Amino acid sequence: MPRQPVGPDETSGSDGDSGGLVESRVREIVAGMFVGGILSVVGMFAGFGIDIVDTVRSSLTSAGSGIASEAASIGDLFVDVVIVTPLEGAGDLAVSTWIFAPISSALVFALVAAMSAGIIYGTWRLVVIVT
Amino acid sequence: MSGAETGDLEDEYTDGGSVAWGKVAGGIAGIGLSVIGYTYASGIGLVRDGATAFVDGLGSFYATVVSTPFTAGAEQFDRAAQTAADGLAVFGPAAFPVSVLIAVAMMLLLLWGVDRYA
Repeated sequence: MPRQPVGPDETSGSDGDSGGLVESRVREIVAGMFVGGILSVVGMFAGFGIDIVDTVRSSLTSAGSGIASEAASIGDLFVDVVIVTPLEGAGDLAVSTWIFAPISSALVFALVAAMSAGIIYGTWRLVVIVT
Repeated sequence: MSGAETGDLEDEYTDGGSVAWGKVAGGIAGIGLSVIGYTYASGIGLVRDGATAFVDGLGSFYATVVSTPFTAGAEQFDRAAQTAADGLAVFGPAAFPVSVLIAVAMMLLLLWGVDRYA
């Protein structure tokens, strides 16, 4: 809407006027404040939304790391029971043979070889099944 | 300032013509879209982090399974060798010659083993 001049002093806002507020500028400023307020309220709600997303994300992340930690302890248990304990038993047996321990520790060697062969065979079977 | 002119002014202040509501609505929609985009990117990042952690965990578990027989077996070999070396004390002053004999025998055994495939 074209602005209508209200008086000789309000027409231009130029060097030639006698100062004071130009109401078209005031109208723009007021409208800008109004819109700025609306946008800041909307932005605040958007910030709440981002906070909610972050909260969900961090809770899912900590749930995931909890599951990963449990899986890691199950893995450690598996390694302990299936690999370390039999080898320690074979080592105990070898130690119990006193000076012949180097000879009887061939049992440890055989066990290590069997385990490695089993692991490699299992890996191969797994790759064959998956692919 | 006459009454008529004041009426015009009020009209200009109150008719909302100086606020481009369409652009404001566009800005509000943009803010909403940015939240949706952030949510989407967060979800993608979460899935990516989870997949990375899963693959890393699987890899490190497999590395542990492959290496543990050797590290644990080496520990048992160490124990056995230490026990046997301590056991040589039963020979008293003859422990040194006996250990030299054992070393020579071991070396010959190794050479014999290598020689079979030469």
